[in-house]
Amino acid sequence: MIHDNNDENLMLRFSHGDVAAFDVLYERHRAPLFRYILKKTRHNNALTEELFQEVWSNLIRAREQYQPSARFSTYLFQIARNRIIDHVRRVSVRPVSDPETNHEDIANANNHDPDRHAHSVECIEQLQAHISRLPDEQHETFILKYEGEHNLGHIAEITGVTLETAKSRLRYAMKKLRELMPEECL
Amino acid sequence: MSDHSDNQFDDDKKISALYRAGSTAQPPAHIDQAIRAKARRSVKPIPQRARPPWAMPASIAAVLILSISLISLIHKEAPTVSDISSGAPLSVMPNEEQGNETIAEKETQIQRPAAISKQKTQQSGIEISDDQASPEPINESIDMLQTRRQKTEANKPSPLPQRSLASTKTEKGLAADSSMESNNATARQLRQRTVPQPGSQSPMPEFSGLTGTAEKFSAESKKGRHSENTKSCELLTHKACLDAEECSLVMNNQKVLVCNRSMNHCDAGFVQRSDTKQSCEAKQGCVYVSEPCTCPPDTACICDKNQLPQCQPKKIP
Repeated sequence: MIHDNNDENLMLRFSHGDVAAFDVLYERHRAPLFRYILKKTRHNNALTEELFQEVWSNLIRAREQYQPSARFSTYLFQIARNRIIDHVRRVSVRPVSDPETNHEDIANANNHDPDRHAHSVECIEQLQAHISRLPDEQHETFILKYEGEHNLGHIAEITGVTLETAKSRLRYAMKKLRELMPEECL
Repeated sequence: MSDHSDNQFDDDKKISALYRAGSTAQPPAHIDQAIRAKARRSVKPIPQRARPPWAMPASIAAVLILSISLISLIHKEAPTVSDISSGAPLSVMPNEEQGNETIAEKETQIQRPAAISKQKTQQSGIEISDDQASPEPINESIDMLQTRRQKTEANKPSPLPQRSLASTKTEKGLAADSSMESNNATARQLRQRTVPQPGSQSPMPEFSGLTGTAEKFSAESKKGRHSENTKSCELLTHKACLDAEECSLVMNNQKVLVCNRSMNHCDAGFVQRSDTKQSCEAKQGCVYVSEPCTCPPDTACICDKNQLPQCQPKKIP
């Protein structure tokens, strides 16, 4: 039905009234976007759901103004980032990390091997804890890299920094995680 | 060094894998449904209102009615010479002060040339029926008269075979006092029609009885008003033509005197018999010319001392 189904074309089709195109787009980006927001809000589920809905609502509302000047995922994550920044400014409180809320995620991972499961869960918990303690810029760059699967150019575009800055932030984040993670997990 | 880099690369891959392993969070189903429903609502097509079946015929009918009424309105408001000559009442602006009598008077004045034609026709020996003698449209009378005269002239032996219709008219006109009176009346009528009465609106161009400017004359000429009386000038005798402000007696290329309607602001309002050089040249851009006037032999020539005064626009070298 949808022949040229890259994100930008799908969004253009949606802007012309093709709801099926939106369904494909939503299915493709719902999980990465949700997790990005979840990590950015430090696992505040209620806030994540609220912001997640706001992001998609913004996208639906502004569909007729959409211009495929950038990658669709860049556009989508920029909307999400702006919504999060707006929220932080509104409440003037830095999102609080709540590592306990992601136990379900961890429990869902690698649950097919009981021996490895315990080990993995422990490693994942540790990793999540270290990631959440990263400085905001490094934290955001790391999430965009591994959650949104953006390359450094797109990360620079989303966060509004130069490519070198984005690269530097990711390098520092990875260095810190390597240092903090126990050897048995690596 | 390369081992260190390889280790780093491996560590990064493991960190990435661990991270992805722990990232399985999904948005709740109710949020998915809400967002998809919102997307559907947003693109819900707005039903277009179908045009009622009578819309097209009604619009065509409206256009036709408007067009017809506009055309009839234009015809009503702009009568032509043919309208006047066909006996239709003049569509002059009725002056409320003058009342109906004035309009009736004007209609009578218009019809009078037809009476003149009748008289002339009778004098020239042509019998006409009562229907024809009765006031007729001016154009028809003139054309009929001219045609019959030409036929008569062609049939009867004439001492002056080259004589023109105009000179014949002059001769006949001068021979009959009543005809002269009629012609003078026509000249007066022309003057009355052209000279605006104090406190009344004249339907004729304002330049007629006054020292009109070139601009006024030009503007009025463009409106085509001054052509209405062209036929009336032709009806005048030469003598009456010399007295008429709206008409000028001129010698045409065939050396025949003809009474023409004034064609410019100089000869408009210039009475050839009485006006002087000063009165002519008082108008901007006008020059007084006294052209030689030669009359055919055996005719009561109107030329006074063989000169025919004219007030003409100055020729730019």
